Amino acid sequence: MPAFLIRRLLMALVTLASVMLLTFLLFGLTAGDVSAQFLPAQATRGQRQEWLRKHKLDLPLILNFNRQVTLTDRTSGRGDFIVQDEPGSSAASALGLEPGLTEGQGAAQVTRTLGSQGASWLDARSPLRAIAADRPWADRAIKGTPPRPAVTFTFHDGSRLTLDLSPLTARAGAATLAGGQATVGDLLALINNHPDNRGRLDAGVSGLSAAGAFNSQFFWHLRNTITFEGESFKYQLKLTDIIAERARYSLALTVPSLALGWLLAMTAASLVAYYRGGLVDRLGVLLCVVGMCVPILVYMIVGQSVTLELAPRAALGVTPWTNIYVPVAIAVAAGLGGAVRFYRTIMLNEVRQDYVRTALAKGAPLPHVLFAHVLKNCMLPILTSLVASVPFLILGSLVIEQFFGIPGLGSLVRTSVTDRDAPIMAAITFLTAAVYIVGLLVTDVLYALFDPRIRLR
Amino acid sequence: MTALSPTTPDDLAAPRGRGLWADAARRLRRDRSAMLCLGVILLYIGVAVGAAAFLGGWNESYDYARANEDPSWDFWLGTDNFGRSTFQELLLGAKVSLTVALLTNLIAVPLGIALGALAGYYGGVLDDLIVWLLATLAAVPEMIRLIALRFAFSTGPLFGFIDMSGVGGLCLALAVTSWIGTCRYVRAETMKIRQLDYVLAARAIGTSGPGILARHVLPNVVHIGIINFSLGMVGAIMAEVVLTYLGLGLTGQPSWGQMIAHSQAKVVVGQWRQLAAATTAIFFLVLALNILGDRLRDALDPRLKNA
Amino acid sequence: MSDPATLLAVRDLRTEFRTDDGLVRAVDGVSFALPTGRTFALVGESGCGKSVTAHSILRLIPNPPGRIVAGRIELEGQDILALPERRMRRLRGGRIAMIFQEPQSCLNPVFTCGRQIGESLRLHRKLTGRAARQAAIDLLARVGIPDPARRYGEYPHQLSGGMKQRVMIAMALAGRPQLLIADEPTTALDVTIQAQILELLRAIQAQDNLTVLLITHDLAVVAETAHQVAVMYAGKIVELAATPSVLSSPLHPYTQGLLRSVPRLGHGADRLYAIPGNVPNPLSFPPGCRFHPRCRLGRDDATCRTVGPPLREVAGGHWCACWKCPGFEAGLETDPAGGIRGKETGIRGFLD
Repeated sequence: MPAFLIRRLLMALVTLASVMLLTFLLFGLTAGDVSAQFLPAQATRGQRQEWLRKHKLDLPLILNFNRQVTLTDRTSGRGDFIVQDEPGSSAASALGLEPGLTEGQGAAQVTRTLGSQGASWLDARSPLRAIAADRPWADRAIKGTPPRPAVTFTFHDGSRLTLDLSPLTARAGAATLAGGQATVGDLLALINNHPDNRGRLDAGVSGLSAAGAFNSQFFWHLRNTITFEGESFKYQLKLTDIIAERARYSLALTVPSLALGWLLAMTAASLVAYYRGGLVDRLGVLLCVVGMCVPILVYMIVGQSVTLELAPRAALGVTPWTNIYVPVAIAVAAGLGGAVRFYRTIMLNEVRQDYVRTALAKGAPLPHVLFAHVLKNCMLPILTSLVASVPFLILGSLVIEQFFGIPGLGSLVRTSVTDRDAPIMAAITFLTAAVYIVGLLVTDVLYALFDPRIRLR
Repeated sequence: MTALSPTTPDDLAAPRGRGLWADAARRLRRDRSAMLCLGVILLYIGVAVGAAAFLGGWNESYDYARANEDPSWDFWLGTDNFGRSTFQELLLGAKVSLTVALLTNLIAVPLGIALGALAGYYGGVLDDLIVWLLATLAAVPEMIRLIALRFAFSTGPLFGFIDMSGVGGLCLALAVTSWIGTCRYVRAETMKIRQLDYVLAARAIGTSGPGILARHVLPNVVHIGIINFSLGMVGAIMAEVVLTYLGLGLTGQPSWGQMIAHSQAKVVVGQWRQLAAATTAIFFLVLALNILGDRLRDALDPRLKNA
Repeated sequence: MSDPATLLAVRDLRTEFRTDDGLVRAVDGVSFALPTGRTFALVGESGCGKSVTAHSILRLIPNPPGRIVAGRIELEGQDILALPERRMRRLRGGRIAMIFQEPQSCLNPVFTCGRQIGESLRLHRKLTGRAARQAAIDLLARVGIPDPARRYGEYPHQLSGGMKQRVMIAMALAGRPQLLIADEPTTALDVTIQAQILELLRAIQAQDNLTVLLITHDLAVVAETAHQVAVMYAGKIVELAATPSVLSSPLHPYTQGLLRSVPRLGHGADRLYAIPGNVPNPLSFPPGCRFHPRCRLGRDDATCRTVGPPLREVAGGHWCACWKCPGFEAGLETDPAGGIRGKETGIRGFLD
């Protein structure tokens, strides 16, 4: 039994991992450059870069083998240093060094990375454009003498260092740092050999590191999937908050409709199975098939307009509670045909078993045989079918929520598709799959606990 | 067909031994409701082909002077906002529904049979791999799976050149969700067949794996495919309606899904005919497919036959 | 020796099944009588209608597709086919109990053995609670299950096949039946277990003066246990007599064929005999004598091919339905269920 549980648990974990892979394939790989859809049309390239960096879309897909140019503060070994542009210059931004404070957070050495993204084979001979952005280094709007492309570092001990980057631009006479012929080596030499530096600031190309290699879209996807910490493209909110808020509405719709639907379906199926072969059975099966042949959308349109005639208050949803009656009733009605037929098949399958004949040969009355002997044997397949519907508890019914404007997870899926909000889609796909997998795990454990045949295996 | 089904000496000795297929065909021919259903389905296919051939210009047949007319001799089911005939739209809708239903299952059923038979017969790593794929896909609820695929396909051409936004992509998405059932069933059945004496005997006399698969396994699992084809068409037709409503279906051509989806607003002002027409069309097609599927199951599944 | 009274008489029983392919007359005019306290065996190949006969007695024929269309089944003179379902239920498991062929599938897998026996005790002896538990344990002990108190709480899958069949027997005995119908009780079991179960049945029969209707295809089982045998072929009884006379001097060619096809120890040198041909398709029985296509005597005989032979008493207590059997011309068409057709004579004895 423990061995069975452990094996089952491992299988569930493997499936969960596979689903993460699947969501990455579907939503990570195919996302493409979607920034344009979520940024205003006049967004600058920097804003775009910023957006991509926030959603980790600037990172390599699977593994990060990129090298980066790093600046290390050697003055204190801990603390922080500040980067500032000279007035009128934007050289720091051009190098990918966001102006502002770098916090060391107790690290032995405080390091800043140049360039928003590294390149695979970065070395001293690489052109500077591998790390620098293609943007003007100086803001021409400032009057007077043209500004120098210079960056000022203020170190932890209070000392300063001002680097003039004009040699890099002057060499090619380019307006941007990336446009010239300068190499990364030129930049490193300029910093390390600067007469004022005196070993305070150390520039270099970082080597490969194990931790750095996992700094990729894929591994961020895995992390965000497990923690639900990713951020929606559209709403600027954490997924946990969005899902928690939306799931309440879905649950309010699905819990009553599933419970009611199950109760009705079981009752009807028992009745139909009891009169198997008779008129009730034939009529019941016919009604089920007819019910299954009508699209759910038709149930909703007809249901809504009928209630609009009969009880406008309920149909329009004047209060939160009346808002739920009609959708629940429609969800139950639309699903009833299939469910009754399904449970009937399960029951009739059991009714054909030999032990039923034994029980009848014992002189047990038919209702007793059906409801004691048969029903207990039916519980397992019925339980399985219930677990299969558990993901929909959270997810809600897409179509019904969309139709009645219920702001649950189902309608979130719908809007996320039109918005191309991949993080939400990935999170919901994973969430429903995880709920299903956990449900299956629980069923298997319940099977093992309640079915004597499995218990001892 | 009889030549394919396994015969035992007893069958040869019996006066008039009938193979499973001949037997099933005979039962079906005698089954009046199955024949009626088949007739209905063929009628729909005929309408779809005819509509595609003769009503191609419907999309542009605007006539604002006759917009939103009630049924008349000219327009049996009235006209829509643009003055186009609703009856013609209904006939054209058959094309989309049937194309989607047939194409989906033409992808899904052979895929399910092939992978199921391979996994069930060879077992081992191949089986593990296919079961892993099944479990992963099945873990995602069907509707979400469908939407996720449509989402992924609508990004742009797949691998840069395969356009997945049209009928092909829709059918592929539907097929990826519906092959699972067939594959599971075929796999389980194949595993049973593999243990049967005549397969063991075939192996004992040195028949190759592919030979056994082709001669003994496939003929005995094809019926699952046929049944699932019929029932899978129902699923595809219903899914097309829902996807169209969610804005993930096909655009630019008339379909029953669109007729139903667009009728939400019209019903409010008391215009029911579009909804009623499309629902009726779907109803009879799906009913015929459902009943045919059940009859096929009764005729082809030997275990139910003897029950 | 005095003739025991008849407990159950089956008269001209006809049971049919409607299938998609046509009407199957599974039991087509079967008559016999079970003397109290004796074992009566119903023998035949699979599909000959012997199990359907047994199920008909308990009215366990699933309807649809099956239906008892004619005949009487008299339990101590009372026609149970005419009883309302409510009273029939009291008979089932009460005065008439049944054990089945496959103990694996005939016990409900999700109930303990004790509970399944207890159900019978509650239904027929109104025992509940502690009394029922004790009675069930006693029954388990009686059918030879070791450590019955522990087995009481166990599930069917925890028991071996032989044990399960013993539980089935205990369940059947729970209602203190007069008649026990055993439908191939040993077919699914190993040979050694078969002997044990047969021995158990014989012991119980002797203790309780139980009447047993044994359904089997195994002539060795018949030889060991039955007082009387009826041989069935294609829905009809073809020969009925006391076991010794059937085994030593079979009259019907089918019975002779059956006996010749039984392998015997010490006679291994000969090639084993097999009746040529197959059991006929129940949808279309051959015209005339249903056995004639496989019969060495009747294959080419005009009468055998066109007219079905009635069942006649060709010697005292020995019925046979074959045109070619010695003494058939002179035999009387007496009713093996007791009384010549026409009800002049009283109940006839069968044995010895």
